[in-house]
Amino acid sequence: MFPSRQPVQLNVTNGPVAIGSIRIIGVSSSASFLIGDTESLTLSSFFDTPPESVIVGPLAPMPSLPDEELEQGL
Amino acid sequence: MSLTCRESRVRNVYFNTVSQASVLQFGDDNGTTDLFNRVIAIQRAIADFESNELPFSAYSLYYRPILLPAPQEEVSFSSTAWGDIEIGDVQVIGLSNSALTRFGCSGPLTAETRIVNIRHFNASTISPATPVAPVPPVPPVSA
Repeated sequence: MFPSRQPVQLNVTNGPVAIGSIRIIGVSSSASFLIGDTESLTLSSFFDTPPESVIVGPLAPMPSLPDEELEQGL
Repeated sequence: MSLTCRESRVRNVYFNTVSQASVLQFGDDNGTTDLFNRVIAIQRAIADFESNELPFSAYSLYYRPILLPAPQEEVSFSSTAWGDIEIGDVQVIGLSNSALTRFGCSGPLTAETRIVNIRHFNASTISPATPVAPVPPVPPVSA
């Protein structure tokens, strides 16, 4: 451990920006396209398609949950 | 935290689609921006669905916590701005799933997307003669 230090100071200088043209196909799943300034970005994306998500079998509906879990409002 | 904003100028903007909890914003924003989107995508060989068949609570992905790196120490942040942002043409085909496009200055942005993708086939709809290509092995990561 270091002895007590001065708090870290971060000074950012934003200069001029000039861009000709921007062409984007897609911005998806908690992505951000920002022209400007911002304080902070916190972007999260969960995507789940595991092998067990492939179901090969009779086309029955998905199994239902017990009633108490359904009432939790999720 | 103090943020000094620059002025943004865009000559021409074209957006084709903004969908699924996405935001397209022109201008500044003092407060926080929170985007949240949950999706269950189920693909069936035969489109036969019942109501309330897919509760979010059945899948752990929807209540799994988000792991964020904890700040090690307090950082005193300040910014100075000089000059402007000048953009010519902007062309975007689509925004989807909690995406954000903003022309301007803003406070903190938080976005969260959770997607579960399920493919549900009937055994009779899959031809056994269809060859299945093996998945190639993943090459080792070089240091």
